[in-house]
Amino acid sequence: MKNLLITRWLLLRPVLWKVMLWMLLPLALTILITSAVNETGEDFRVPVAVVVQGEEGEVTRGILNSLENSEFIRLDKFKENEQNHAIHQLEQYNYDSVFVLTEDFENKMTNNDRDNLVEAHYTDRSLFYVPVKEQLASLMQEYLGELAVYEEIYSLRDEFAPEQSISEQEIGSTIKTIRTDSNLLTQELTFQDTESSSDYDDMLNPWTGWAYLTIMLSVFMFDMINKEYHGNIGHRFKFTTISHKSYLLYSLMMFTAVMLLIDLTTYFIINSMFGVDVSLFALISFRMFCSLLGFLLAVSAGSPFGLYLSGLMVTVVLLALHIVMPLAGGQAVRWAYEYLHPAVSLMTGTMNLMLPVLLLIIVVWKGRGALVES
Amino acid sequence: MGHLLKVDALYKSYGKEPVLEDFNMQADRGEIIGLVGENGAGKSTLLRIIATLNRPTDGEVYIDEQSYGKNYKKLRRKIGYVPQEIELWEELSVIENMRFFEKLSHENRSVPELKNLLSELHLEKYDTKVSRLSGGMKRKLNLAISLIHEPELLLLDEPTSGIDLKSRIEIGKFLKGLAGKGALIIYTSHDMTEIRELCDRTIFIGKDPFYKNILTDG
Amino acid sequence: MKTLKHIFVFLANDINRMKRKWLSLPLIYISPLIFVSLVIWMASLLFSPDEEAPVSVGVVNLDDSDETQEMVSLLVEATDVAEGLKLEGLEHEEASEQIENDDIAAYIVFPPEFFTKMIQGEESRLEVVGNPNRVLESHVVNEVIETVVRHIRSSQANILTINHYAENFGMDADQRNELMLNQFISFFLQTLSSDTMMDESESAHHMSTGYEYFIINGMFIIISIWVLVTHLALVQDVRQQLRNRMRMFGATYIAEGTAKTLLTFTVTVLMSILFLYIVTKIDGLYIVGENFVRVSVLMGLYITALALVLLLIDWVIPSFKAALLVKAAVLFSVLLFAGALIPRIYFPIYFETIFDFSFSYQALNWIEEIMLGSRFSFELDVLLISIIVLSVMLIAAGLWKERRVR
Repeated sequence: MKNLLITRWLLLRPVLWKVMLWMLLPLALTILITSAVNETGEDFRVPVAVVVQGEEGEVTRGILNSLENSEFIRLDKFKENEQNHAIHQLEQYNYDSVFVLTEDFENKMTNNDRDNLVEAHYTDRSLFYVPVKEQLASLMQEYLGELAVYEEIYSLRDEFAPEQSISEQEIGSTIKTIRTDSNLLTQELTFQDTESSSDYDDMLNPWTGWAYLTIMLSVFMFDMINKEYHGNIGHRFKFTTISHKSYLLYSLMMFTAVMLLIDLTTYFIINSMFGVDVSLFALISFRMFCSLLGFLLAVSAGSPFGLYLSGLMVTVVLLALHIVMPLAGGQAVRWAYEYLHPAVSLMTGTMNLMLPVLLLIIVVWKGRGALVES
Repeated sequence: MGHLLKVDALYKSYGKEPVLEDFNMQADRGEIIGLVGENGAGKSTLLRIIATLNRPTDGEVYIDEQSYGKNYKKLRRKIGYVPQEIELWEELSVIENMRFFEKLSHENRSVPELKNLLSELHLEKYDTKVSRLSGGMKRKLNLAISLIHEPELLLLDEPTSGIDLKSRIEIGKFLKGLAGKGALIIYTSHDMTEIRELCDRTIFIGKDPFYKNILTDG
Repeated sequence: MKTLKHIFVFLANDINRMKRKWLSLPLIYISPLIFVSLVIWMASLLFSPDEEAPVSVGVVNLDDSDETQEMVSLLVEATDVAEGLKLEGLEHEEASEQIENDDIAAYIVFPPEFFTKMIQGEESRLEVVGNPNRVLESHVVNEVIETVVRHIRSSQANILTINHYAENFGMDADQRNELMLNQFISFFLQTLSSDTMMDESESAHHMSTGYEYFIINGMFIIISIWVLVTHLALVQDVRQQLRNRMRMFGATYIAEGTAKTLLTFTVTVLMSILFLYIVTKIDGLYIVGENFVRVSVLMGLYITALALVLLLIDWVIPSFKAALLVKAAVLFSVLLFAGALIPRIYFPIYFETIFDFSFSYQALNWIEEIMLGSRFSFELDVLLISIIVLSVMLIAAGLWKERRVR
């Protein structure tokens, strides 16, 4: 064993810094990409135009402010005489939607008149029309609701405790307190017979990015094995204590061990930087999958060039399957995803069932040609 | 005591093409034997069969009266094979290549011993990367690696092909020294002068009478 | 003129190499087509605001209270919030069974003591159980319920406030309960009829539909992938010795690069024009001959620019591995800043300048304008300038590499 380590070290030393770079690249890229996406992700906004036909009273201003402060909307305000311009921009697909607050908007809101307060315009490419509309509707409902509350409370006061005096501000702050303090109604979506997967709040789960980068770069890193296996030097191993294939398999094990150490580091770094966890068991299983896959592709590919291309293709195909997953109907298909797709297995914390298959293929590969060639 | 190497009615064909037909030979320790013949005569094939790298279609090979059969892995320990192609780690230095194969060899050799072997071949650029060596130096290293485990039978496939005269002479001297210590050396080359100078006897393989005649003409 | 001769030699060599791969080439050209079409189709399903056939949803009430029963029947009857949803009151086992039999897309569960907890401000959860065979529909149902829940949550605060003051005013418990229920139902109804607040209209200025927009974007992405694939098919790890021989004959990087670009361009443009022709057969995407030429020109220039970018990466980065990684990343960026993955309007403002200088954006934008917006003109400045700049950079890089080797 010691000799195997020494010989592998001899081969690695001339290219050590390059190998280390490639080993650390998945982590580095994951951090870079996740940070970039999380940083700029919030700034991706839906461009919405609002036209105020009538006067901009307190209510209107309040609602527009809330809309402006919304995290996913970028609001542009227009006056009545600019309405045509706004609609024209919408037709040019420069806005996702346009909302026209009609002439009587302010009046109707203050008088709890709910009919036709807003004209909503959208196009065939309004990807976010519905959530924006809902947002605006919520804000309006909220205001109208509060109005109703005041009315009701005052009417109750008059009936039951006419001597008490309460201000609207008081009621308003009570509403706010209750809103924040109470455990209000929530809702949850689950699927029959399946476990719910955990939700990640931020834009991009770093582990997903890491998984795909690792799959691809792991395959890339096995180009050394590819060159060794297909090079001339293999003949010399006929006269050594260990066969060439065995030597390569030992190298695979050593490489996997080193990568697992790096993965452990990755685990702690990603956890502390992004606060996202993943099952250690699934992580180990995933790493083994990547190593076995990389190794098998390396011994099958005719050249490093072919290896890199197959690495890229495998990654793209797995990514495509992952994206299409929500469409997948049927228990069987979903099960297949969870247990066969390496990235999905990692995220759901299960062992990938392709592992034993890959191991079997390697065993077959090792056994083949064990006799003298003819 | 029997012969170190005995080849009995060896027949080798690739598909329907026979490469070696009814080949026989015997050789003893301390001999240097030259194999000559035209291109494609089967010299390399014969060497590879004796080196246990290829299986004969028919016939038998014996080392120390043990037939290859199932013993071939064990018998490999007695064999050193120097291929026609240079089979070295280009990115490693001379001594690193030696150390690498020593670690995987059946024999343990210390670094001074390895360096000694190299200096016998006048290859003292221990720390030079193989990619920077001249053709002659690479051939010497190619040879040196095959000697790490002190084989009794040494098979060389055109070991001096394309190298300078000085290196050629050095290798020749070295091989004579090895034979003197009891190794059996089988050697292929296209250079008749080299064959005549180095080899105790020559075996002709192939069908081209040109080579046969040159042998007999001396 | 020696350079010209060398270009032809390289061209012939590259064509030969491609011919040898003729078996695998159709596969690598068709797979992006399949993959991208699938993803685009999926995206269009998720995003299109079109209405679909009513989705069947069950409603399960585990709360014995009259109040919840009244709410549930209101929910089932109301159709406003249930646009595209058909609700049906069911028992729990029935609902579960119907999911197994794939009769409903999901069912909503009102938990025990729902109403009591609600008015007392205690934690309560509305569960939506989806049919694993109809994942997409379940998500749609969930979205709708989310809206309802959001409204109820805000109403809840209001009602609890009323309750709080009612208590202060000395109203007795029974009276308060009745008040709460009435208030709740009143708010609930208001929630369900929130659509009367808005008068909605789709701007029907253009003849195309959102679906066609996705097709154009998909086509653009596929063409881009074809450029990469063709480029990779032609790139080879030329050994130093071979390079030396080539140099002895005076062949330069520039000649080699020109040949590669020409071939990449020719192959991809031919396939893209064929693709375009097929796409224009789709209803709504027909364009007149003059515009067909315009779109072809845009595609041709875009393909040229992209091919030059890939070649430049090849020359600048010696390691094939690293170059491949960078090419994939660059292709992604080119598509991102074409607006092909996310439309430009959703990007943060600080990215605006990038789009103004992006050759891919100019290409895609004008293709969209012509094919979807019935425009009869286009602008090519960014594309042309990019090609010129890239060519200059390539010549410089080529010369530098030649010098370095000496």
